Amino acid sequence: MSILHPLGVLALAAVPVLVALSLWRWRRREAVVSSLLLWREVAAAWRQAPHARRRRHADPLLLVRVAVALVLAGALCAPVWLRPSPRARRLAIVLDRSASMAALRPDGKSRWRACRDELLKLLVRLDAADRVDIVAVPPPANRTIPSELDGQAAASVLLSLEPSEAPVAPRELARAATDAASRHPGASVVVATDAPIEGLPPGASLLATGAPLDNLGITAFAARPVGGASVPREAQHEVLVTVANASARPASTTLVLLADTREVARRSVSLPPGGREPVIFDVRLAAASALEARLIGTDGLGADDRAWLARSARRTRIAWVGDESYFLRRALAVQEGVELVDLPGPPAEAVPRGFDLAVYHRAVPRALTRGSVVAVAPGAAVGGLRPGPPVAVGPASLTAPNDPLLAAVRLDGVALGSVPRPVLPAGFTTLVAVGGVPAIGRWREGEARLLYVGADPAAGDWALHPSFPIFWANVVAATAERGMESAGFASVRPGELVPVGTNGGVAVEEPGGARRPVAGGAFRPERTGLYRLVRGKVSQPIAVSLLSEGETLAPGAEARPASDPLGAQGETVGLAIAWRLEGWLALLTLALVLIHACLAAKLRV
Amino acid sequence: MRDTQSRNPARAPSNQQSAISNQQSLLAPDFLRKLDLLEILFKRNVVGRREGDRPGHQRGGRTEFADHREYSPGDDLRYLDWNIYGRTDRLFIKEFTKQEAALVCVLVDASASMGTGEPEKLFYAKRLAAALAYLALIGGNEAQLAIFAGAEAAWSPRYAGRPDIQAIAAFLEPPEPAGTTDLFAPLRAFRERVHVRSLVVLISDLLEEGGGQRGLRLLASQRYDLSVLHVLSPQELRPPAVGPALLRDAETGRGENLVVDADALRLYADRLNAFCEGWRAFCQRHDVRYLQASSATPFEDCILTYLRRGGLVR
Repeated sequence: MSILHPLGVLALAAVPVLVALSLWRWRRREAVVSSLLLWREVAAAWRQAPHARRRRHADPLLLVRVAVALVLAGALCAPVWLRPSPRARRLAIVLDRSASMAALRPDGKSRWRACRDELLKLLVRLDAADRVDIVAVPPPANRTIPSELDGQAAASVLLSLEPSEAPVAPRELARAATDAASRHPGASVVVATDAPIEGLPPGASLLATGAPLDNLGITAFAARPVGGASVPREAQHEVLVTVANASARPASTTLVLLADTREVARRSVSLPPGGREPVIFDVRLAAASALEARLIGTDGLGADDRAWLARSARRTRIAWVGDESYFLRRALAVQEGVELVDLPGPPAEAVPRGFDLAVYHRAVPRALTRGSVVAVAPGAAVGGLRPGPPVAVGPASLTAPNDPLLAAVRLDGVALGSVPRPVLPAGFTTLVAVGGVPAIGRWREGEARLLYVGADPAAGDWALHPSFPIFWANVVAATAERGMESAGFASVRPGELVPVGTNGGVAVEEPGGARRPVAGGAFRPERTGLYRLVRGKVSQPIAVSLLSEGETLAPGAEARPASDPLGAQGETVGLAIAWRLEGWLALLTLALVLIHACLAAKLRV
Repeated sequence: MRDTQSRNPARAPSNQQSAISNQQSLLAPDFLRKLDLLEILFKRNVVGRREGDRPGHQRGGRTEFADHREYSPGDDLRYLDWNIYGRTDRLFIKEFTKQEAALVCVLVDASASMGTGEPEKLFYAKRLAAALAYLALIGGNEAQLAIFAGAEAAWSPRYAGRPDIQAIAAFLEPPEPAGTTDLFAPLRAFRERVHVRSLVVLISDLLEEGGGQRGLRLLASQRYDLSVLHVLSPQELRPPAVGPALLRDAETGRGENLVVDADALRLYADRLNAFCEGWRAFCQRHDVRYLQASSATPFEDCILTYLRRGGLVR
């Protein structure tokens, strides 16, 4: 015996109320009679009656009312009687925690709640030996869901989960279902979602929820300076906001644009059913660090009614071409704000578009066009530089110690190993020489800036020396300095990993104001809003916006029970008795019983 | 005891208008037309004080033939029946009955207990009294009314003739229910005031111990033609189950705590039944008409059905 809705027990409070009303109804009142002549004997007989007879008789109406209240309380609790099944069963629940699951259905219940209620009904049918795995997509950020839960524990987990504001693609759910089915062969897989999902593994059942949604949402939000990437921050900006209408009727709203919480523009938007409209604002943003687009009014889904953009320091993107070098890779990757991307082979351009720097290890670019190129132990000609045969060399010496690339670099006593004796191009500046042989130097060819490092980090012991990461930090810093000029507005989606660096001492301030330290060099926001990365006295805004057409327009489906996954396993169905009385109907009846008792007590009928 | 004969409002010309309205409220004109078809039944030989329309038991008069008897010397020869002498050659004297006007006296209990019930018992009793008095008047008899509460009573003059119904209504209307029930005092006062044998109708709820029966026994011994109209309200005949209650006596104000539930009501019904049966048995023993009526019974039904069935009118 178990109950589906423990809160229904509160309805039992009606019983003492009914008893109190019945006692109140028995209060003494005065009645005028023509004469006590006839009543005197009645009173005498009543006084002489044994105590049991003089006691108040049980009010049959009270008994009926109490019985009705007990029945209704029982119905609200939804008790179920379970029969044990012959052998343990296994159930895997793939739970869609996407933003659209928070959308409200026409009955006022969210898709998430409707789905959860159906799943709870499924869980109470499980026996003690049955086991449940819950796979949430996306997984909750700050906790891990244990596996192989019993029905009760699974229900507790289910009740503790809430939908995130992250977008989830249907294929992710299908993949999670397939993984769950492959991990536990023979398990019943239930996918609870509002997404039109395909590619479920054989035997998996779908618990679809949702309904046509009345929703207006922001599906795109971007800002760019007018006139190129190198204009100052105070310049005119072009801001694009796309608003979509998911409902089946025309809708209109007001779109407001705010810069650092100050309203800078406002526009009315009218959309046909299922329509989308891009709205472009030309605004002067001055030194605003964050933008917000907001739709006025409420609708079925709140997560897409606001979107944010934050101006962030641009990351230094480095393309890696050539052989692997552990020390060099680590020296680059540990730099804050560095994104190291491996390229399979030499690209068409020396520095591919979107990268700030290209590092060629034991490789050379096809053509020098533009950008910054680092050639480490190239082994072949790079532009005008042609490496010669390697020579054994002695200790290194700095020939241009004031160069920014050599700031804080000391190479006293460091053996760089063998270096080639190169043929130098015009304008080559030697930074480090070994026994008179240029080992590190830089030069320009057209619009390309080149840095030559003749020593292979894997050959000498320079990689183990403190000057090695300092040198490469200088290289990255010089590149990043130039990149700062092109900083722009950007946002990430909920559920995406936001790297913050591994230096430690970084805290994230959530939109509500709560601040928590970031561990592991990254954090994963679950909710939309404007976060702040706080490092000492420096605060960097991080915009987290849904901006997902799939979530905004998620049509959902009429709620329908999944095909019985427990029955599909060929087991005995555990549910023997289940009251199916609508909660509102039970509450209404209970209220009528109480009102009737009140009136009866007041009027003493 | 209080006599209001000298200051009866019905005699005052200024009150003529209110008397008509009172008559209308007690007896509707349509109902009066129905009453015209009825007459009061006298059970015993009542003696009229003056000549009237009703054939009496005393010989005399000239209009109402009663019987023949053989002539005796000294008889008035004007009453010889010459037709019989012509046929039989024997002398017979015609005898006539004296036409009398009998007295119908209606005593109405106006104690506080008569003010209870829905409809009110006193108003119902007043209507009954007015109807009986009207029947007496249209029957060529005299009517006298008395309204009593406690030991005090208001006596009307004797009314005769149909137009006096207005004065009767004016006499009945004003009294309000008050005081305790004392049936013996007005019955004894009646015996002291009225010395001719007449029809006496007592209208009361009889909620008094002993006094009523003592007074009726006194009058029965004087061979008055006696009737008792026992008026009870529906709340007395079938009281509601009100649960725990303080029952307060309308006359004395005394209270009694009781749980009026189904058991109590059963006891009450037994007690009421015994009370009524006691009165019925008493009346049978002393040749008194006993009629019980509920104030909820339609008034016309009461007059035209119950009283007729009870032998008070026909």
